Amino acid sequence: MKATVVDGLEIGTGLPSLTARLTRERLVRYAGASTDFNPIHYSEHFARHIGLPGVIAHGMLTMGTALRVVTNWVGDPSRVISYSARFTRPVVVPDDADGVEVEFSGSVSAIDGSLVTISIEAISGGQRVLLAARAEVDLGVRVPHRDHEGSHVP
Amino acid sequence: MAPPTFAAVISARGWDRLFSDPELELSLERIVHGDQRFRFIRPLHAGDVVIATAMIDKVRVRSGPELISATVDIASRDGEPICTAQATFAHAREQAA
Repeated sequence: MKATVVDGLEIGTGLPSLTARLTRERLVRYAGASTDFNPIHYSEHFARHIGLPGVIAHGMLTMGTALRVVTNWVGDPSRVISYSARFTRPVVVPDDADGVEVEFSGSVSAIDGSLVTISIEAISGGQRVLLAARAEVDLGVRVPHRDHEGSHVP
Repeated sequence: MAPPTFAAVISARGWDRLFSDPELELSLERIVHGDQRFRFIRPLHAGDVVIATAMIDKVRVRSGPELISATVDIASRDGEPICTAQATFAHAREQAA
């Protein structure tokens, strides 16, 4: 494990953020790669039929992209031991050349020995599109850190 | 090594079995993913041969969409656990207003 990741890690430490642009083409490619061919991810007709405002991105596309904040930071994806999220608000992808941007960021929300929990935010059009997105990573080494009061946690 | 959420692609084999089971009368185009939880025991590697076992944990029927909770366990052929994927899907049984 790179020592740089552990050094100075504490609750609230931010991870480098990233921005993804989702277009209809991206959704079609993801459908093929993921085998999720639900037509609400490419057809306005089917999306509106169940009351969606338009074609929406696959939840797993958003969730998978969001985890890159964590895997880019930790380096080794096998250190991720759990990951969960709720798809609160669909990411509507317009039928144009620009698509829609989603901004992903993460910060340390818990430290327990070598286990570090990262809370991830995913924002699109000023709205949160993932709720309670959290990944647990096992850094393999105890993380010395300070608690909220500033004293060292043994 | 596969990215962690690649497990969803394997899980989808299990979900597809649920969505296409004639007894359940579900339609893929009326299903929206509500939440997702993964527990990774070890990463998936190229060349792994795995078995995905899908279970319906709970179905909640209210006035709105049906909420279906399902778990897919991914294991090696020898039974070594690799990943557990828990999901909730909302299924709009009737045409939305």
